[in-house]
Amino acid sequence: MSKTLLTLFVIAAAGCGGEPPFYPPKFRTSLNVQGSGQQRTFLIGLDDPEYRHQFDQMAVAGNFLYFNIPWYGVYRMPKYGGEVQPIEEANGIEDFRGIATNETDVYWARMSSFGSAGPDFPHSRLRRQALGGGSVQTVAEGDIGIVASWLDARAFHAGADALYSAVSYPQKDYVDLTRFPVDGGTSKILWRLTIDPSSGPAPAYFVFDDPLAYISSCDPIGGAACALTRIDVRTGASDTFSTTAGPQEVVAVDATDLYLVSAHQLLRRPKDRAGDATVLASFEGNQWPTPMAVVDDDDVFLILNQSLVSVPKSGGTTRTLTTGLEGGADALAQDERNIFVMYDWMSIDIVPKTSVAAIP
Amino acid sequence: MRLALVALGWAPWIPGCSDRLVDGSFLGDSTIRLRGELASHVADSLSPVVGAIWLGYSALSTPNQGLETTALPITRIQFPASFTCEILDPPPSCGRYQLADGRIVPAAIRIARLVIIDDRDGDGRFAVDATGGVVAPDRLLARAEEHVLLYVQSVPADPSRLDATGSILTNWEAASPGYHLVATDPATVPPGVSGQVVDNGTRVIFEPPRPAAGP
Repeated sequence: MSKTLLTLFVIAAAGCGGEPPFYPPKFRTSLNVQGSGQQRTFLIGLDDPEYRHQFDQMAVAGNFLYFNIPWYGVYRMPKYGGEVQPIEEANGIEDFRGIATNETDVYWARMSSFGSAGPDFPHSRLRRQALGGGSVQTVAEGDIGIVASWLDARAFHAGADALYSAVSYPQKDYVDLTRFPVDGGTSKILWRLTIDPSSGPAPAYFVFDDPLAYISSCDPIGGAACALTRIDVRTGASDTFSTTAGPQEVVAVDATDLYLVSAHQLLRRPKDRAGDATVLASFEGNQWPTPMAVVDDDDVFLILNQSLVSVPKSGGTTRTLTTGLEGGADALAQDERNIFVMYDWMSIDIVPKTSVAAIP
Repeated sequence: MRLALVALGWAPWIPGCSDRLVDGSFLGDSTIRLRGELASHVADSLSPVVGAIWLGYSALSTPNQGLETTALPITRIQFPASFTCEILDPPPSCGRYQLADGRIVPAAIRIARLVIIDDRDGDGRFAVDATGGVVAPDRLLARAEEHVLLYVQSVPADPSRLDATGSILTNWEAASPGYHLVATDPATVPPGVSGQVVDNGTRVIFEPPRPAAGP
């Protein structure tokens, strides 16, 4: 009876101009879970059997894990477990996309439903807060759309002094990878991603290595011509770093090398062009690497089907850290000793880098 | 109408570590009167304050990770070298710690090293650098070598089961919500911390810093 009355009440509210009902996210946390030290440990999940909420992106910096829930808010929590603290929320009223951190701040995009371009195009604000907390500030804003994910590639990054994101415009069939100085300076377009009317958006993958960015993409028409493009993020000047016959998605960068995945391989290519790409690992059968990875001093961590694996940079045997990431992995982050895995858009687990997957 | 909807959908938000309760005049368990004593003469100081260097959640395995600081005014000084200070605010945050062997302790807590700082610029705060050293112009005068400060936000589900597992405390049953002093085991290899909760009235001895000592 009470549910019926509530439903009628909500319908009446919407019918006379009220806001639609909102459903604040509910979290499952891990305070009573004893992490084993060698195995994957549950960290946080969304308690939402109706799938109204999903995680989107995450970042780990300092003591915290940061994440966003589209159309609900941006949150942080102690990185090994603890209370979830909202940084900014607008339950169902405004959208929140993208999470990125640098040494000092966490950044995200907040987008209203209505911009000056009309009801279907947002007014966006790029926001930031110091990692230690404090007031939220706007880095840049305008009647643009923030495209934090381009197909299955993360397109929202923070450098030391600038924020990078793909940006859309009203009634335009392209988006621009754009640099926004965090001091509020003039933004700069770095790269244009086209959306072909017949074939749709062309895949592209990005890594940022201040003062350079690398983009891997393929000619959406020709299909076979794929290139790794290098861009000076200060000037916008670009050149072709390398070309390949088939797709190679750039997924990570460190002090000396770029890391790329192809259909069944993980490759390493020196940033100084001192040599060709070398194969770090080959994956047989139906093992397809997902185009996401994180690197530390010793290893490359990436997703193979529903497993997290590590590949030694020095060469050697691929090691499976955990399996059974149901629904597939959506994002990776790391600290000194752990990999944080978001999967099924509903859960985030901690996997020690020294973890060894149990044999089924 | 909007108010009614808000009332229907609103769920009370549980205050976190850094959230003042009510209007700030009541802080629940977030208070402790610290009794300190200087072990020996320390360098002349312009403006001594007690400092808490809050260890980050991975700082028990990786030194100096996620350090945060708070300065605590000394409220009373007695000759020859005793003082008290009152900690009225909760830590910057609370959460679970990861131990050196990778285990994650199932309790929301925060641990701080206690120091005495010469607040030379008089701004009422101090900072530490990536190596854990106090950032100039402030200066480290002394540090507590045998005690750390513990804040407990939520207790483990089965505290006694943790006691013998090398999970920071050897008497988790005594770690009720709020502030505690922990007498540390000097045999524990840094950056790990191990010890037992002791009475909050225990006198904390501060010693001049040893050369090259971090937090």
